[in-house]
Amino acid sequence: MGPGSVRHPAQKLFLLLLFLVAVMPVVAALLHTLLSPDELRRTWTTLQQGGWRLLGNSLLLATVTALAATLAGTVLGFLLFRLDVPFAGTMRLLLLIPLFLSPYLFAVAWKDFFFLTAGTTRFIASPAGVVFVLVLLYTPLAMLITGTALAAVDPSLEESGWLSAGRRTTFFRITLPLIRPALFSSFVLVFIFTLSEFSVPAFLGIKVFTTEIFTQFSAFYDHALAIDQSVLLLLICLLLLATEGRYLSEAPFLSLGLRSGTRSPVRGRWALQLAFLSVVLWFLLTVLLPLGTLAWQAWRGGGGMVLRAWHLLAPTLGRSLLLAGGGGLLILLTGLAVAWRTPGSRPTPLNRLSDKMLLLLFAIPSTVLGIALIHFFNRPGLEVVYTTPLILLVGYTARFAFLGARLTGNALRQLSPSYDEAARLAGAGPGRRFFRIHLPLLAPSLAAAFLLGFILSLGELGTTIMVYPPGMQLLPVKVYTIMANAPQALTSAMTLLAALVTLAAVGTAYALINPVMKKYSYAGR
Amino acid sequence: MKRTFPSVRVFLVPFLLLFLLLAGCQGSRNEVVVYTSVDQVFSEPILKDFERETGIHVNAVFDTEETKSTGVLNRLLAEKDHPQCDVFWSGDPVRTLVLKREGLTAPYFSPEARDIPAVYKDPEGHWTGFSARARVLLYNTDRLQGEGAPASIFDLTKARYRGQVALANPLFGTTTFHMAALFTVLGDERAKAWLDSLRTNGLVLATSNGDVRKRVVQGEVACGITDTDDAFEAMKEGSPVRIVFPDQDGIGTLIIPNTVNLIRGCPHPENGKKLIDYLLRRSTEAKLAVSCAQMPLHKGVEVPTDVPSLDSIVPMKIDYDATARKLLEIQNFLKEWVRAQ
Amino acid sequence: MPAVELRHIVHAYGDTIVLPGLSLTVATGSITTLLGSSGCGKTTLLRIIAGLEVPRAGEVLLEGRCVTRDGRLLIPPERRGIGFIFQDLALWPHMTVFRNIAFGLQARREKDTAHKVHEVLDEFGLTALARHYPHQLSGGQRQLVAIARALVLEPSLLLMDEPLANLDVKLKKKILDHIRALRDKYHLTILYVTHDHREAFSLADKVVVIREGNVEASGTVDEIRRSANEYVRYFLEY
Repeated sequence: MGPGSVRHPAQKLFLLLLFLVAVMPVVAALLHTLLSPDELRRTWTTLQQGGWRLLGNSLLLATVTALAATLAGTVLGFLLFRLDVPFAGTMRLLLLIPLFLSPYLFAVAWKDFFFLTAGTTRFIASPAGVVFVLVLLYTPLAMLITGTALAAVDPSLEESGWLSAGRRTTFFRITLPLIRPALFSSFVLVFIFTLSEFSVPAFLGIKVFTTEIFTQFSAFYDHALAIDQSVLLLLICLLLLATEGRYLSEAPFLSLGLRSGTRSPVRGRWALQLAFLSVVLWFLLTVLLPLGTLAWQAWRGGGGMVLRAWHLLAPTLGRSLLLAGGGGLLILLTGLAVAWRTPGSRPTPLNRLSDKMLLLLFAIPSTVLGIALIHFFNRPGLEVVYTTPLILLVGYTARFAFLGARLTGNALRQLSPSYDEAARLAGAGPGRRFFRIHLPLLAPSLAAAFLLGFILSLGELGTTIMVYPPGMQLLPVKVYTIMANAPQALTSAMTLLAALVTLAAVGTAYALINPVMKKYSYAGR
Repeated sequence: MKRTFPSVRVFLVPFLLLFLLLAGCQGSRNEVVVYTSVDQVFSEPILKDFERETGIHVNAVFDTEETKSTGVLNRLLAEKDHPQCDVFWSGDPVRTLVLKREGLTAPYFSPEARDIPAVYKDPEGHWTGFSARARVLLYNTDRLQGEGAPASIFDLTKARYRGQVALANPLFGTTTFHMAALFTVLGDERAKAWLDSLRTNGLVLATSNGDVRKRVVQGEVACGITDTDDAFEAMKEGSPVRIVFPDQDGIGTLIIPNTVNLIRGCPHPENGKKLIDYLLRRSTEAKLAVSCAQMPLHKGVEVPTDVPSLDSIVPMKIDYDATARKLLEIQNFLKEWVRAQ
Repeated sequence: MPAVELRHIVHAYGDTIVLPGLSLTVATGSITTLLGSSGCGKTTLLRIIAGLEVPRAGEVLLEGRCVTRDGRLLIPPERRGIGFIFQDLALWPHMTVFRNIAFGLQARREKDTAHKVHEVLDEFGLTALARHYPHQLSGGQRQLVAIARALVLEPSLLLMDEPLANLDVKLKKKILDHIRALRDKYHLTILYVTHDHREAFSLADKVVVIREGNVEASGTVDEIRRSANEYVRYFLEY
């Protein structure tokens, strides 16, 4: 370690806390079953009895979805982050709306749309239908990742290409290869999300490996076998990320942000109009149609339905938004603690280890995480965590801090080390440098980590339903528990309201954060 | 030179404050914790009434449909070593019997259950049944009229209903218990044959009873097997549907009681018993009859006119404990059957 | 006593030896230019003197005081009293010109920070730009801000790493004149890195030609011009 690297006790303390609070429960749960030869034998037997085929289905579904979402996301990223499309900033936010909905409810809206318009659900209740729904759901994520990468490409690299080979060739031979890390990142992220997704394939009648895991939990109550099977998914994710590490070395994994640098490679009014039209069509397809279906179903139930939905959801909003805000903040802080190193220095062994820890937590199915947290925290002396909202904050952080870490890590890689060195030579100690130099320069990425963490925490169900303190009312739980026996109109109204509340919250947060991001978005200039 | 890192204190202070704040929230109060798999729209009003009448604060954990999340039972099983729940109120005997099998239940003979028929109670006191649903046929009157409507579950294998029948995933919930009951009553061979016939007749596998209801209401299928509360809800909404209590001339209709039990080692056993007593009262059954057409097991409870009485239904004759044991035996068969669907 | 003395400095990046054992002295109050082609180790030398890199072997002495020895930093960069003008200038993009310059004074908890900053802004003709951000400045203005930021802390040694790259000739001359004036006013020792021998000759009291991490030649401008060293001759021709 050279003189530029500084150890922060706060960082080590935080990481120790993360390990104790989030990683140890999961590792303990995994080891408990993995160290049992009987359990391993049973897992092997279930694989032999058709489990491999289901795993193959899952891998195929995840691969196709990830490829399609990355392709669509890259096109959208190009249109919204590189071209002077009108209302690009607003569209970037609005196209995130599918992420505000639970995957299951998104699938319900689409199935109803097809039934109501085409009179048949043959397409949607098929593997192609599952891919269709998941691609529409996860494309916004891909858009953010690839779009930000496109915006950050050094213009001189493209301009030199334009002069010799034209814009189209430059895009395919120079620009796309330059954002290769972002393309790979988008693929991996969507792949992991799809691989562990259960509710959409189950609803649309397609059998995947997570069906097997879920069946073990919900039909057989066989936790040990379900956890063992989850390890397979975990190993696949680790393998994928090891491939990423080898293929991309130190290249950025995630780059999320809402700023853009438009240096339009496309000229001409017609081209921009076509681009704008394409974005609007995508908005229509992924947002207006499903939300419109929900709205129509809610309306069919009469005007009182929306009011009834509001009365049901209103008691949940304050606490849910507060907890999601807390979750977003912790995801931001954890990501910062895990990714932190002096700009310009290589990742330390501590960075690498804690990154892997977060990946473990991210890739494990949410129910397994819930069970692990129960086993670990449900004991005398830890009631202050288990029976209070703290357990939810632990759950949110464990589920999504991986994204925060990669966002921050990427931003760190983009920071010039000379900023830190100049501050050091000016006599600033590590604390002053951290708060006056590094944090402000990382602000846009930290803000993006917070927003993403907020959105995901607000809609998190799998772990939440396992650990939420009895008597606490939370938004996603309420929607699902009421849905169990509620008219379709009420369910649709609740889903719509939940999405609108999320949009309002995100929009408000974005409006508050945007001036900060604009002020600090000069890094790299 | 010793480096001081003010950032350590900066991070520690807010966490300490939060810790103290939350620790301060741990004050003891008069409360009871109930986990329930009965739909929140029906169970929550009952629990609120209990709270109002007794002053005991109810902390409830409600359930989703089994196919959407892994639900309260898994939570109960995971909390086995240090129970947080006092009372488990289930919408069917399946989950309660799983708990009993796992040793999570404590015996309690509620005085309110004295005149509930013995078939709906555990002889060892580990669970007590009340307010029952039935497994019914729900059909769309725009698609099927008069004699076109099925009267028996065996009608569903006929050619005229090809591709027009929906059934919830038999691995979960009341459907799984229904299958176990059929295997008990019909024997393995006949039951398997029926299921296979359903499949070859183009059965539509739904994710839940609510999904069956929705598909029948929308006309996506002509009929389906579901529970009375889902069926009555559809009728209350004014949907073009009718209910049939199947096999009244044959094996009878499966009756599925709610069950309630005390959790072994629970934190508030006395309040738990009070809640159990409350749930087993006639007045509670009367409320559930109104809200979700559940049929009282006590005799002489006043119910709305559109709610049938158990006396007017020929029930399927089963032993609930034996059926729960049968369920264990057939689970793998059901899993393979679903996979082949 | 020399301002800077390097004794047998050995440094490598991985397996690539950049400095195989370089020794060098810089006289106090002089402007010494390190001249050489890209990759010869000039910037690495500056970073070693500043304490931003630690050599594998050798000693670094500042005004007779050993600050680095045998792979260990004896005195950290922030306590060496060195000003450094980075190649990319390293102006903090989220801070105004005023705050960029004030940062070091605040870090050292000096009194009359605002007064000192205004003084130096006046000196460099940057007063009107005090509230501007770096991205709002021209290249030349940014150079001046970087120099002002370093000088406000009254260093005894100023290290400059190709600070005038990408500037036009006229502006370069203006800033070079300014640097000479600063040396005289502040009694600075300046170590200036460049690959442009014209720039080196117009500024330096002493020129040191570096080749592959070794001192190929050193002397006054005239001495270097008249050098019979083949490499030096070759370098000066292009």
